[in-house]
Amino acid sequence: MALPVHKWTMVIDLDKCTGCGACVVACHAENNVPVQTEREITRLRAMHWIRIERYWMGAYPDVQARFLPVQCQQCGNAPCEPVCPVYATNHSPTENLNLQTYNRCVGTRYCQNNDPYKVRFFNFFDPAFEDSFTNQLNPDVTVRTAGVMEKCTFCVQRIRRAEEDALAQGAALKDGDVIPACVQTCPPGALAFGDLNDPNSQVAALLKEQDQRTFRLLENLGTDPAIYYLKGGPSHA
Amino acid sequence: MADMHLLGLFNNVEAAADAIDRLHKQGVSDEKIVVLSGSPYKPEMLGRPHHHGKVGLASLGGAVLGVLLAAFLTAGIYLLYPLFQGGQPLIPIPPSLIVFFEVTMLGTMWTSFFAMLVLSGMPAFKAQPYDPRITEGHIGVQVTLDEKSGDQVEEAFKGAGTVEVKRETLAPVIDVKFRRFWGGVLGLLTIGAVISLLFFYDVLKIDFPTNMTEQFSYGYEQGPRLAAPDSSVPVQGPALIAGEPASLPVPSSPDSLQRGKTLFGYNCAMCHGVTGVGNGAVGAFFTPKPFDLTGSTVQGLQSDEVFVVISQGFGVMPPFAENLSPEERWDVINYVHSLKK
Amino acid sequence: MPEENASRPSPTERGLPYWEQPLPEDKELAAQESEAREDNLLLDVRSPADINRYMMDPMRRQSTRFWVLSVILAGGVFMWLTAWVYQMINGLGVTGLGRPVMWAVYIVNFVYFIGIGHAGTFISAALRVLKFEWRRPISRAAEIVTVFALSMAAVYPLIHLGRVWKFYWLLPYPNERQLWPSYHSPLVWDLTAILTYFSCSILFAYVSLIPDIAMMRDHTTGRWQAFYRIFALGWRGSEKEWANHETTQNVFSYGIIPVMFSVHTIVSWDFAMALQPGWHSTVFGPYFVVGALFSGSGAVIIALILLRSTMNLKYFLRSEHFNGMAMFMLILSLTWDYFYFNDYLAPWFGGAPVDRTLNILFERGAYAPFWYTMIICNTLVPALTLWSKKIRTNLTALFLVALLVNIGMYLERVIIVPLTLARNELPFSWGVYTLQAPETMITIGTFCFLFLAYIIFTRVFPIIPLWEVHEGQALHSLRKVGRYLLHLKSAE
Repeated sequence: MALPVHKWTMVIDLDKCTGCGACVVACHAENNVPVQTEREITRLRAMHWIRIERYWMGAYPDVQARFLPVQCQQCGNAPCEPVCPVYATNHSPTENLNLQTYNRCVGTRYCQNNDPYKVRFFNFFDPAFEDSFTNQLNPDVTVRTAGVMEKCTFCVQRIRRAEEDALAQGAALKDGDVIPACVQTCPPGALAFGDLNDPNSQVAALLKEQDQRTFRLLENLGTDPAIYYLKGGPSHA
Repeated sequence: MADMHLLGLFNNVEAAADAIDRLHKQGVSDEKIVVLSGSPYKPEMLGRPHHHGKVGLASLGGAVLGVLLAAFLTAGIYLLYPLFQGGQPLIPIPPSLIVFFEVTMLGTMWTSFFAMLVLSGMPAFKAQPYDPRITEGHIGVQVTLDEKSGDQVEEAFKGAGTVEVKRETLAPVIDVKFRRFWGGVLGLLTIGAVISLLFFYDVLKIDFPTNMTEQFSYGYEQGPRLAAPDSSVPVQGPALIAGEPASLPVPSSPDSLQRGKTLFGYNCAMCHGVTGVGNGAVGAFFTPKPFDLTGSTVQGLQSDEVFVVISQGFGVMPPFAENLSPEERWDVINYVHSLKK
Repeated sequence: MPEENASRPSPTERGLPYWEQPLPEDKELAAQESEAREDNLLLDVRSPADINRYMMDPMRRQSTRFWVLSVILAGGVFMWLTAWVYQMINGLGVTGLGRPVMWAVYIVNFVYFIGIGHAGTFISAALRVLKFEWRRPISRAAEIVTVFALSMAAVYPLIHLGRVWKFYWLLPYPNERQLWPSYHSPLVWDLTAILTYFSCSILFAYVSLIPDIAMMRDHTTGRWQAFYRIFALGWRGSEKEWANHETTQNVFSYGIIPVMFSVHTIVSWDFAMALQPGWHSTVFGPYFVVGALFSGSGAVIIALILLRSTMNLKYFLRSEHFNGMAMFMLILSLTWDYFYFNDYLAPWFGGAPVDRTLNILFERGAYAPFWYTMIICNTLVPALTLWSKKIRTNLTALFLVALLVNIGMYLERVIIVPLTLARNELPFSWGVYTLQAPETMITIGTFCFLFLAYIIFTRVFPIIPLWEVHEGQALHSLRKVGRYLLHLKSAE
């Protein structure tokens, strides 16, 4: 595999994350993710491409909360890819992205079983968007039907649009041209997104100066995720 | 001198072997003798030569075919459709070995089955000498010879202790129903294969619905919605077009009216009539008839509602988004306002 | 003429068929021969006409019980199809699946059905290769369990697909979409392996059936005879036909054994290839194969016991066969214990947090009832009972043991699939799987199909391979050694 042209990377600063969940809502809006009913959520079918995992630490009265925004880690050695029998998920070598092709998916759900982060979501029913909700749907993103797996794509539609705009203008992609919905919305600015191959990008700078705090999720599994977390300090509930 | 089959039935191995021995002594060659039994006996038990079948060899050929097919499937897929998955190399060796094994075994066994059928002459379309007692433990010795040797052979059989001797002339009845059935099966399979191939190569196309071509969302080119939801707050004022900055309508100047009149003549008059009352020549063919633009219904609409109707169409009226630029549409709207009675 | 006192003269030297042997004149030897005849099918020689009748009589008359059972089972099949259509229309949300338990009862059933299919192949192919003569009357009953169990196993990957109507994308057929299935995926290896195994099992069963279909052709009239004549392909039993038949059977026997091993290994690799804790174990290959043979032996024993009583096949199925199958089941139980202990020991010893969580869950947590039932049924029940020949030959007891073994092995797959998937490295994504009505209906319905297809088969084709019994009886004999009659077992 050739080296990627753009190595899309996200850096999540856990010190800044307040667990507000704005990124979750933004992702729903941007990617036409259906909102599940309460009943479906109790049946383990909550569908949030990015979710805030909240862990309690310590005992009363010294209880702390840790927030961990988890979305598809866009692994370099994605375990979810080689198990798909129909090539519905495969790797984009030029962008280091884990691609999901909705109309190819036949719904074997093996990718989710092999995904250690459990960030893939299956459409158990046809998504229901009530009347006026359809006005809010993003035309750049397909609405999936029942039987199809979906997951965070790093807002690949925004990546494509930025690339096409850059091509039309005859300029190269600059850092900050591509902003996924979650990054755009995060109030404290905990999420940063960019091209790690670009030495001047924000993410490259962040990783370089904050390398004491950097870690990746479940790194020992060898999945080579593209999302770096910066360790947070204590956050009291 | 016609040829015929003689079938001698024996109820024990000894007698059958004895009969064959006597036939040999009479000079009947081994190729003319066929032994029928309900369960397999070793050739040595009956004094018969070994039958060297080619099924084993065919199976080996089948194995080779399997290997080739597996090579085509694995290397073919990886080279034709170079898609990367999971950090694995483009041609992963261990999974390919699995496929090689399975497909080779498939080739071996299937080929041996069909080789068995072909080499044994099965399905046997010609009825051949037989007796149902063979499936009850009797052994049949069948000799093919000419008429005059028949008595001699029958003597040999009787001497060995036969249960019964049957004679059949060599022109066995063709089992028509049997042949028709299997011929039909083969025909159906061939037709099915051909039709399937035509489907695969899109010669026969069936447009069956795919899941995701119909989307609930509106594309950029589809413009703003026509019907606002009941609970929404109506937007008055500037019409908002996706992708373009919010713009004020073109003010109603004599220039605009003049342009509007020209454009109205080109685009609208054929249906709505030159005066806009709905009596255009083309409009007469439509149901319902085109609206009377001078009447209170249309004149009472907000400007941007009219803009949306012109852009997106309304019922039978086609959309004019491609024909008229937004400024031109405003010119037409200004002109239509001027038509008010 | 050899002496009367030395080796017993071959009856055929006197021109008698092999089924008309006189008893020896000596009373003691005659008693020995009677006893040997009682114990051994292949020594209890009757005329092939009689034996054919023993098989054909129960096929001809169907009791009311048979028809009532058929209607009930057909109702079960209808229930399955209805539930499946309902699920297809409404989406997989009608099941109990969710994140992270994305595979549940359907995959359990899939693995279970493939598992019980393995014993059939083992008996008809491996025991044939090893020249175990007691496999003669039971091989077809076992093989047909395989064929119908595999047919149901082949349906389950379709049932669990999110978009069933696009299942053909898993096949490499010429298309303009410019895409074929991915051989990186264990599911495609599954498809290849099961296709091979299923098609070759059907062909193998058919090849063995042809001489018996010829027999049915010779003993029926009218429409039934036309049916048998078509599928007998004009078989006469000539030397050429038998020689080619034997070569083909050899190719299939030797060939289908490695395929059988590979199939359940590949099914196990659906789990072993995943990073899921509890699945990512290198011992899964042989562990699953042994488990398959184990549960399959139980299923075959159940089938044989039911056949023997409902079709009155006491002549064919004797204690020697059940004894052999029960010993086989015991050996497999011990082997299964060995592999399960292997699979259990390594994560237990390593003590990784997620492995420890799983272990506690099964030993002391919510899923302990499943785990302990499985251990009791798979380990304790066979080990405590099958040592005794009395239990092995007592059909009621053996039936119970085989049933418990099957329950235990079904639970083993339940533990492996939905219960293990409920835990993983990130505790936020743990879940609980609850069984829903469509899954139950589909499970029961597929079992009904298996039973229904099986009992219909037993009425259409002879479930005992009669030509193999004839061959065995013609070639087995008793030889006098001193005051003892020795059973000569060579079938070579």
